Amino acid sequence: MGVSASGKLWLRVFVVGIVLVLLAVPQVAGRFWQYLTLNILLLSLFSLSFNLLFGMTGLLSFGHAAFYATGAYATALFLRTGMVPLLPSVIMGTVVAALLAALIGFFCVRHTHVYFAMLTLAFGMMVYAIVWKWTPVTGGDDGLVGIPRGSLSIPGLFTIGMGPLAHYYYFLTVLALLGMYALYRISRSPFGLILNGMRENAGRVEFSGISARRYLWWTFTIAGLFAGLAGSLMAPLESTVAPASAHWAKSAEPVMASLIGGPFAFAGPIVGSLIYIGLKEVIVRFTQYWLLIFGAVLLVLVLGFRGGVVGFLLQRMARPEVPMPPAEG
Amino acid sequence: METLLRAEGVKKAFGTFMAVDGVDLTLPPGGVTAVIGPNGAGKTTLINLLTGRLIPDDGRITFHEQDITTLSPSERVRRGMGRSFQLVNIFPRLTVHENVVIPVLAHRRLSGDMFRPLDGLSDVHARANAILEQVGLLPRAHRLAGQLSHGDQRLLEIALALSTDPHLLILDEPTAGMNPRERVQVLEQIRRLAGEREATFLLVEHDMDVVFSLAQRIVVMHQGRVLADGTPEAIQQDSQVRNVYLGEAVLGKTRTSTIGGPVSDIILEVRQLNTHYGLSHVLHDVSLFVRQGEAVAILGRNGVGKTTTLRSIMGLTPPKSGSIQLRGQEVAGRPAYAIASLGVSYVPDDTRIFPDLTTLENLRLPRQVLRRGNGRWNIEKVEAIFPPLRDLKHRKGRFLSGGEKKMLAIGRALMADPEVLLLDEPSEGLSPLIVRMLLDALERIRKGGVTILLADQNLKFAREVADRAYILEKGAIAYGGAMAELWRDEEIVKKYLAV
Repeated sequence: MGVSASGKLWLRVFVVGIVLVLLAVPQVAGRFWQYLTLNILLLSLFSLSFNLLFGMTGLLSFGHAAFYATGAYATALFLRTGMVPLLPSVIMGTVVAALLAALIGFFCVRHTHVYFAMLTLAFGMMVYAIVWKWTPVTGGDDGLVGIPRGSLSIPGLFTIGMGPLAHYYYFLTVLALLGMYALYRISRSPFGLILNGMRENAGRVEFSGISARRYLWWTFTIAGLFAGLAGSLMAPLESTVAPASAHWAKSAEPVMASLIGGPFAFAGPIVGSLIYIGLKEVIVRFTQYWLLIFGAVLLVLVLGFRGGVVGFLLQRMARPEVPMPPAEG
Repeated sequence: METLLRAEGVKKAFGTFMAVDGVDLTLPPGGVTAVIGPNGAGKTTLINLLTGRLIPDDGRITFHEQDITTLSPSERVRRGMGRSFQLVNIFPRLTVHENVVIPVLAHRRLSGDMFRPLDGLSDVHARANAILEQVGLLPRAHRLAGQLSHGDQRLLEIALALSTDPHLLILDEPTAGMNPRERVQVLEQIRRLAGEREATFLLVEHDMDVVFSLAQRIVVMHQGRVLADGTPEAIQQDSQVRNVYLGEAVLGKTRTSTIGGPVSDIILEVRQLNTHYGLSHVLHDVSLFVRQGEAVAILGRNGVGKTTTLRSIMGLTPPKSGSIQLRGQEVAGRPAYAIASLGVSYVPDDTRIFPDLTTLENLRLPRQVLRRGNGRWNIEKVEAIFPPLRDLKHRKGRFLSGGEKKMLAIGRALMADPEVLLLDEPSEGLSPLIVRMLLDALERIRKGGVTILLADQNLKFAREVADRAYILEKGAIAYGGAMAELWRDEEIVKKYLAV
């Protein structure tokens, strides 16, 4: 919509360029930059999965960290057995998160608006409480420590140890990019348009012959799946998982990243994640009260850039489309 | 005989109010059946029951001989039912094209596809464009639906209903708020589809010309029940029907003079008004004036800026430049509440009744908010000009019918004790009897010293109400003059207002 053919070409060149830069990072930069880049990728994937519900479908989830943490804990548990290799652990961790999302989503999609937000918050806090209290499995407030990264191998062919950060860097980057690409495809699919329709007018979607509730359930489950993937990739990177990963403060991160970057553009949450982590990294160097400064910057971004940074730029650049007049206009 | 749709003893109550009180209705396949009846007769509720938006308290509904009484709307649509809504019900921030693609995808069972790019489904896009072509919206396919004029949004509403290729199409006031050209377009469409036996139509409509020209069968509802059911000829001669609905007088026949009170000084003067929505320049140097006690109409086709003019005066869409003087005081650019407190009331076309407040609470609100003493208007006086409100005192706004909301909205505006009353499409969606009542009400309102500026699609109605008229064309004033003169000038009427 509204993007010219040459614009599309430039966009492709730009995306390929970014992927190349991502792949080059371990060759040219040290551990600090690699670690920072991975954190941005993880938050981007997490935020994109959240934005599938928020920007695309119009549902604000306050408990999205529940699935992130579930993926992280499940993957950590598989890896700690020492029996399951890295890739199957990550995949199974992701699936566990998706199953939990299907269970919780079954109840949450019965409501919309503020009730949906409250339900997701409540379920999120339940997951947090379980993580905190179920010490034999989750390690309680200590979390799980000493998670081995294992290795990537096809028996008989090759084995690559994931111990060095640079090795794990490529593993995480490739899977995170695949996850983002899958979400991009969904956003451009027929299903994606139906989600936009649900955001605009769920009643009319129903009268188009589509069961809004069933579609929302699917969406919720998919969003949980990709949040779970982000969490599953995080656990081996940190080699620890703490209960904070399930806390509602963690659920707030994708909300902020999406709002900063712009919830109505696909790339919004990615740009938002970059700004969020970049800002935090810079401000933390100057003051321990970084949240105070961060809050002020966030205010400026949200008030000054209507529709987020990406939405704002898109509107500035090419779009002849004008902002919405009042509905009754 | 084969039946397409059958309702047996269908009932629905809102609290203690029986909106639909035991309706039996059988539709054979083919043809056009119209449901008529006074505002509040339960027509929209019946449609909501048939289409699954509401579930009946009692009774049974079958479609294609299968019980659908408790099925969800989406399941009914999948079985071949389609509907349009009385109020515009579209996807405002999607393009017109995308709006239609959604039901087309659903109909082709492609809506759940997550992997194929939507852009590649060329037959879906072709089908969507064909539907838009049929209703005349193809040139605006890539605009956001929320930016269309009201009439075009009504057309899109019809397009959405057509997009699932339904066997039974239920239309709730399909032509309300359309100009004559669009009206003809939609009616031709219905006639063609019915003629080709592609779909069976059930429609609610207040325009008797439409009803009598299209329908082979008319069902008259009154107080939640079927009062009469028969051919148009039989209905026309039914004395009961004439009493409750058609009324004695037909518009334009009983009145000889325009209504009015004393006319004197200019109360509202607008000069060189320019208004934008975002980047689009909607009003171009609009100038007009209204004298104290006058009634003035703003006419013109859909999307020419009638609503925007009213909204600019009210301060809801602040103008970029120009002057608006109220009794010589400049008010352009001031917020709506400030303009309201200077004695201007605005009744938007969608009424904006508070759904969770009762009629009485809606009426009391302006007084409480403005903290005014007793003005010229009180609840008794409002009820005297809109008698149906008397029996609806404790009903919540959401349970009022379209026509009842309209009366309440005007009543509520009066309770703010306005000197100038701005009315947007006051007669839209009202039954003939209620239109007559509204005309009488406006006359009494003017006698009470209120000046009226209204925008209306319905020329016959505007002619009855207004002393003078302005015609807007593409956001600029194209004509201004006395109503009687305008009406005599066939060329002007043809050029700016007719088909």
